[in-house]
Amino acid sequence: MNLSHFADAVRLLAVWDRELVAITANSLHFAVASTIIAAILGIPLGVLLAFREFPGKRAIVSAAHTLMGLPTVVAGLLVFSFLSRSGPLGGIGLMFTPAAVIIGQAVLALPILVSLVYSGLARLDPELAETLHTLGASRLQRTVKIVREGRIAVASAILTAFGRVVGEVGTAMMLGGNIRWYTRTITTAIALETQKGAFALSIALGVVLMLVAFGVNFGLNYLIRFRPGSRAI
Amino acid sequence: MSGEFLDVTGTRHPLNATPTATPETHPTTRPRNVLEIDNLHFSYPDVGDRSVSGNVDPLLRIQHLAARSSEILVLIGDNGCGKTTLLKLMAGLLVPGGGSIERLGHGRAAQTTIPILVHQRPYLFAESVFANVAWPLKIRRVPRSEVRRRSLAALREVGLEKLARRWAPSLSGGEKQRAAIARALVLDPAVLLLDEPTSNIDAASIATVERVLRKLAAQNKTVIMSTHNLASAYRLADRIVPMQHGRPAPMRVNILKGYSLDPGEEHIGRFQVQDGPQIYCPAVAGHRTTAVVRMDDIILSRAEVATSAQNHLQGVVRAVELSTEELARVEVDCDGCTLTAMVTHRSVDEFDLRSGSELWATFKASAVELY
Amino acid sequence: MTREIRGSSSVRRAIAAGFIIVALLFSVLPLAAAGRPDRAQVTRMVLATTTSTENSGLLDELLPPFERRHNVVVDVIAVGTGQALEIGRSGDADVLMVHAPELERQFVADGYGVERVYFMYNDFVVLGPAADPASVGDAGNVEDAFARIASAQQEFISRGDNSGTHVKELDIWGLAGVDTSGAWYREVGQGMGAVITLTNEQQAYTLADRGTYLSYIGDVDIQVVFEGDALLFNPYGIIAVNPERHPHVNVDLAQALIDHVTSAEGQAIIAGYLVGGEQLFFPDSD
Repeated sequence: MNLSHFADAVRLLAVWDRELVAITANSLHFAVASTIIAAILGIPLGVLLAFREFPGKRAIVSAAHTLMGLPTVVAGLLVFSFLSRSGPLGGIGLMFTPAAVIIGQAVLALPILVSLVYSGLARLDPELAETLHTLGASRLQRTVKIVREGRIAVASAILTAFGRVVGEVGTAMMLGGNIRWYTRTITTAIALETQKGAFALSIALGVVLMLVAFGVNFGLNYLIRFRPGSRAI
Repeated sequence: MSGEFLDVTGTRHPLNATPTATPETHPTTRPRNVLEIDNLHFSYPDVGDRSVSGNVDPLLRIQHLAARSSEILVLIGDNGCGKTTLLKLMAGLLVPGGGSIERLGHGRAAQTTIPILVHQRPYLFAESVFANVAWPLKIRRVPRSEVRRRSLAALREVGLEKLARRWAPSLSGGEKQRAAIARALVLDPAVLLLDEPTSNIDAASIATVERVLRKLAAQNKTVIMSTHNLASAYRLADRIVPMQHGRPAPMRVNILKGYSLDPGEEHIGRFQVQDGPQIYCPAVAGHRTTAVVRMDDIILSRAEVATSAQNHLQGVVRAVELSTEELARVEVDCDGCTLTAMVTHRSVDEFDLRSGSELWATFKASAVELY
Repeated sequence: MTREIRGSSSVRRAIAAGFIIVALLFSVLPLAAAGRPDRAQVTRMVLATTTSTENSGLLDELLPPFERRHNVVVDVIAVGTGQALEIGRSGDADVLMVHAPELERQFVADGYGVERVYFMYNDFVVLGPAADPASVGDAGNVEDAFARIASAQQEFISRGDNSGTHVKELDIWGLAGVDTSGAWYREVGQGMGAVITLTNEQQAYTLADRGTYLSYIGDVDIQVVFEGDALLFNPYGIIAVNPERHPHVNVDLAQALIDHVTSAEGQAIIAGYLVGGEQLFFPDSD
């Protein structure tokens, strides 16, 4: 490992190396898809936990809080035991495919979304829920409005979840198998290339990873801090 | 009125030997009940330890309370007396432990029979003022042009049309209150509920809010509000329900609507009761619309008595109600103005007070407060 | 709360719409497929192998002719030897390529594999500082070389991960009769690349496969201090996963791949594969 690797890394980035692009696309594909799946499941659950009382609620909340720190390899192992040919869902043949990685990363992202959406929305004014009720909103309309009002909390939950899955290596490696052109992600490639002594590609991939994280953060921040004018006038 | 007397106390009492002829029956213009509460009780689930007592004294218990169209009903009382809880029950935001709240829709009003509640510190959505007001219509799939028209009309009503594009959370307390009222008004509710609409807001907003509420009542709507602010309550209320420990308490004052006459250089002022007599009162500058006389301050006598008091009104007893163990409430019609006085049971017997009895009501000018 | 940004509503909506479109695109389109022929058109088979095999780069030469001929994509899963065998046991691979003869024989004996086919070997080398403070270069055989490191109390980095390399190393310590409980002996539980880097930083000794070491030349200054002993030969086997246990495995393609690597063409590719001008693997199919 020496400084000349940085020069090589810059060159790889400058020529927009084909494999670099493919690996980056894979990482984004898996992380975005798994975050979307986790958001579709996790945001309504977070809203439910924040605004409704039901038996088992506290257990779900503390489970979500605890599982936020779920080690990635444990999540990988868990999903592996289901998707493996010897597991209950083995017949579908999902092991070592992008779908397996997306499922594994969604498992990682879900508790983060539930937990952060819940705690963000629970801090909203309790009169919001009553206001929506008294103005005659349906359950769906209330949920959508609550998410909109808590959009900063919801967006940072999505960002946190995305950041976690785009940067994780455990489940991507275990469930995807780091197959070239197919399931190789930025993180599994870094693990592999470092292993091979190919530091230049690792550095280039690391730079891309940071750019992706920064770009997504910056863009979403712009959107949620924005004060819209009224467009109906 | 009907064959029952003073539902504000929470108990119904038949009028004592009311003469059969009650001439003022004009069913078309008569205000009708839009909300009726019977045998209502409510407790918060976490209040009190049920395992010990098994039967917790409920936070709120109301035997009967009705709100009529075109009236402003004001709930007053200390913190924790159940005002806010009662408003939330009426709005359907809380589910009663028992009893009934009947919302009686009539004609066009039936579409919004559930009353809309405006909170003490209203929650405005994090968007423009206009978007806040338009939202209840948008979720009802009202056509866009109509949303715009009705929202702007509601904003004009509360004097916020110039702030329509403002970011709602940046409004002042009074402006927020007015915006929240506009957000309820767009739905044209038959009953509007407001929790402390005039507390902690600026004087200009108070005047606007009071004007809007009066206008609603004039449009045959019902306004039910709670307040700490007695002046505001007296100015606005057609009827006041004092709340104590979750129960409606008997009213202890007479509220007379009308207008004050300019006292000029006089030491004593005069107040013209609407459709009634003039009464003497303290000389106060400015336009006042409400005179308040405590029921305890009114002396009843069979004949006119010579006292230092300035107000001597001749009247006819309309009703006598033995409300508590000690005191009776006597309702006297004095030349178109109805006064209620509190007297002991003994006095009732002594003077043989009953419906139709003629007597004099006497009170000092200084017993009158103007609002 | 943070300062709010003001701006025109249409700009914001355009950015939001752009975000959503990009996100949806990324979530549904496997863009990496642009780099290779449409996978939907071809059959897929999974080859589980060891990290060092994959890292050597040999498979990039050996597999493409096979893939073209049979219109198949061979997905290579590179993991530790133990995990590769485990993937075979659970039926998540069609064929295994590993280099731990004892474990492979056990795998077949347990009925998980059809047959172990031996098709090439490479060799292990002892790496150490250029100065060679333990004089390993003068040893007569590899047991002697290891014994010299121990007696000189020079630091030795062990993979400690039950990989093929680790198993081989333990064999040699056993034959040398050396007790490895001293402070000079460090088990790090990491891959070959990490161990080479670590050994270089510590200027210690280690046992490495030649392929991985060659890819580090230029980045490290430790050198090959001992090589060539018969004990350091590292035989590679290829095993088709037994379809009697896992009916879904593609045993025909697995057999075709075995035929390919043992064919004259396959053996020539192995012999011709050079890293830094050096031959890494030696074809040896009987």
